[in-house]
Amino acid sequence: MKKLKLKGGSLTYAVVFSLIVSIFCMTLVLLFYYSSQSVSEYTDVFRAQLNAKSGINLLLSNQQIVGSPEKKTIDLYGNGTDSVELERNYWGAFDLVTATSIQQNYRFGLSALTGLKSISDSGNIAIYLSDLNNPLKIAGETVIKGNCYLPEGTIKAGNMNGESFIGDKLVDGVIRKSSSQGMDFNRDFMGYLIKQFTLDTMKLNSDSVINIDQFPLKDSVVNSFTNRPITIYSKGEIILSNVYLCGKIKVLSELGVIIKSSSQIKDVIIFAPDVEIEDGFTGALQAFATDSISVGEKCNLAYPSVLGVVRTVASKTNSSLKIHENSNFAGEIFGIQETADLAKHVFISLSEDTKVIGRVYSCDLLETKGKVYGSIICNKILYTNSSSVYENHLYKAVIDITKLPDAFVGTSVLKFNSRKGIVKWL
Amino acid sequence: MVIKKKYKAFTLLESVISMAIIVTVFAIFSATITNITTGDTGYAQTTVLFQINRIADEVKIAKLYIDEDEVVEDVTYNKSFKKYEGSDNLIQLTITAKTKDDKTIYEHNELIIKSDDKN
Repeated sequence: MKKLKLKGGSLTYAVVFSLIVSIFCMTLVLLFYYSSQSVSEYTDVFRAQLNAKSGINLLLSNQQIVGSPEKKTIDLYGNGTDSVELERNYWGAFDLVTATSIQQNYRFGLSALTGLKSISDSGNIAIYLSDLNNPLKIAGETVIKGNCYLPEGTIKAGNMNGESFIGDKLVDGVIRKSSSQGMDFNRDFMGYLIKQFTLDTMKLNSDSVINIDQFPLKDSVVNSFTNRPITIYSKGEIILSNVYLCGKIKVLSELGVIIKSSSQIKDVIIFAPDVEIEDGFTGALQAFATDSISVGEKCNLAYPSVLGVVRTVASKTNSSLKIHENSNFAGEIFGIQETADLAKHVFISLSEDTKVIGRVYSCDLLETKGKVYGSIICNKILYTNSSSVYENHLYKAVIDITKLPDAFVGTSVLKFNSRKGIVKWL
Repeated sequence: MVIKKKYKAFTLLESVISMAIIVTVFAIFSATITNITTGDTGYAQTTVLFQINRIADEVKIAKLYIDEDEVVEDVTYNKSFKKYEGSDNLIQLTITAKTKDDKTIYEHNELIIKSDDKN
């Protein structure tokens, strides 16, 4: 008789079932583990971003906490867990600020260009013309909107080119008396700017210098603002044609820089005795010259662009800055000088049909025939035509502070009650 | 003729052991599920972070710097402000999330510029 063998069938079922349930449990446990991990990582990322943003706010509100140029680590709340590394450097006429926060293994940095935002009435004016005993006269379809500081606290309707003033109001705003000294500029800033015209300063700043007298310039140079600056240098003239320059790049020439319309330039700063921007150029840059800056016709210089002429003691001629017809500019234009000289002038000229959004400051002479959506600040306003030069006359000009965007942040050139603001996030 | 039919079946011992295994596995399974559902700090923390973000954004938009409490889903969010040392226009915003039994889940600190400008 055959002995019947009973198989442990139920045990097999039980083991298989247990295995399936175990795998399911393990999956859930792993899922839970990774979910916790990702939440923890997200918390670190969130905290690092928040601390970096708080660091930038601290740099904006407290100038003393980190000088320029300086790098410092700060414990934000004194609890040892929220430290940020703060850094401030100059970038042309603006400050370049960086805040870096580290949480566990996560590092997050924020960089921005900062400038000055006026919070007082003196910074939000349409015209500030120094009182040199010569009142302002306007003729033609001149429009002035905003508060003005004018010689003798008055404005008169004049007659130029056979045309008298056309309009309802001479000034759509309050007129106050200006001072004879005019609005003073920041001489520390001028001192910094003058030093930038030498290669030695760039080397002191640990810039990476590309001497294009020895090595030809590449078609494209891009440098992040987290890196050291790259300085493109030449003892002779630099012609920027068919090139793409973007980021933390300086161009320095001991003779002059010519920018052709075929070049694409963004965030770059240029130092040279003479800077010429040819007709049709489009980009955003900061250009500083000791002798002259010329912006051709139909150019578009986007915000935050800066054009500045600095007449030094060594300058043998007048320093001039001219924007030619049909060009648009957004940012700040300024002309300053080390010492006043009756024989040598700083002269800023805005031609017909130019449009400037921002501020135009000349410590000496200014001519405007176009539209300025912002402020003009100067000692004398000139109007020239083929036969005559008129002093303190405006003809067919538009100066309208009400059209200046609220977000406009200017440079540190002028001294007025102001607060730091973000020009641009990088 | 009576045909004696044989039925296959598990032995008593087999059945007992199998049941013991299944009960044990179910016990472990339910314990795991309970742990995950009741102790999911990840989910709770995400919710808290979301609420804190919302409160911080509302403060920055409304520009109202008033200390107050807000209760959302049994969590109390305490919003407080104090002037940041060394800066005239900088304030420290602290949002603390606490459970019913006053246990702190998360503390959010942020420096914000107290001004009217849009930057």
